[in-house]
Amino acid sequence: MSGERVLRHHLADRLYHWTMAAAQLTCLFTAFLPILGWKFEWVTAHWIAGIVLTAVILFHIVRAVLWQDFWAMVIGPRDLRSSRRVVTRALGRGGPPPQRDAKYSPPQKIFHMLVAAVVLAIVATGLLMLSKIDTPFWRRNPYWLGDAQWGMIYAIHGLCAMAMLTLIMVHVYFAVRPENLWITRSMFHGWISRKDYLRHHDPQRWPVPDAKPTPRQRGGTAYSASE
Amino acid sequence: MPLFRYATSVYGQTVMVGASWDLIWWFVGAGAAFIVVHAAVKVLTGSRTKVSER
Repeated sequence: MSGERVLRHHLADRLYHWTMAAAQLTCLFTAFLPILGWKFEWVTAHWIAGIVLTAVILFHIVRAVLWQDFWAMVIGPRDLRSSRRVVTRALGRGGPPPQRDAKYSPPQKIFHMLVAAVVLAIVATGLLMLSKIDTPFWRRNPYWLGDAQWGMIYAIHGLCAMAMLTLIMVHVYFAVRPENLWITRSMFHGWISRKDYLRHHDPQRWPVPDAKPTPRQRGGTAYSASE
Repeated sequence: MPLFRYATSVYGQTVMVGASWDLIWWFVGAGAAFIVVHAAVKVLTGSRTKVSER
């Protein structure tokens, strides 16, 4: 990668993002289209996509915890201070400008936290529901939980699935906003310009290597930093 | 507007069977409302956040 480009998302992370997106959209389409009136045999595609979603999320959690900077996505005191400054200035009350972000901005961290909570609830309840269907790997047993427990599981699964509609709408909206396209493009080809890096990020909070990485260089904490 | 769906079990008990699907339009509406409000605020303020050096 040339000196004018900064690696933001490794290939593994981009593949994870788009595989997760495809699995989530498959789950949502197979869930809601029949409810809205388009009837088709949806269960098989739904649970298979759910398994794929579970697998890629497990991959992401392991990778983020062991190979990347877990704390880069955690909201810290600087994020709260920066957010307060943004709100204060947006309300026309002046004050100091917000500091440049680390790798992820406070809204990105908040969104990630919301999506993580919702998706983990969907996955956990969905895995429990797998016991109610016949698959090539196991026979169904819907009786290991009572009616009330199943009702609660279905309610959580349904509410979180509907919440995902809201979150995805907001996510796509921010992705296509003109001032954010530089970030959106990085989820396709992995890099941002050094100009955008210096404009939007604090090099002390998100240091990146100046040297040109070799084509086979692994991604890691070299281009992310804790708060 | 019901938040949940209910049914009668084989034992004659009323049990919850899931969330009400009528809520779909509330969640979609919430997303649309957020988008509209945010876009409107961005247009009205028309300001760009300036960043400061540490």
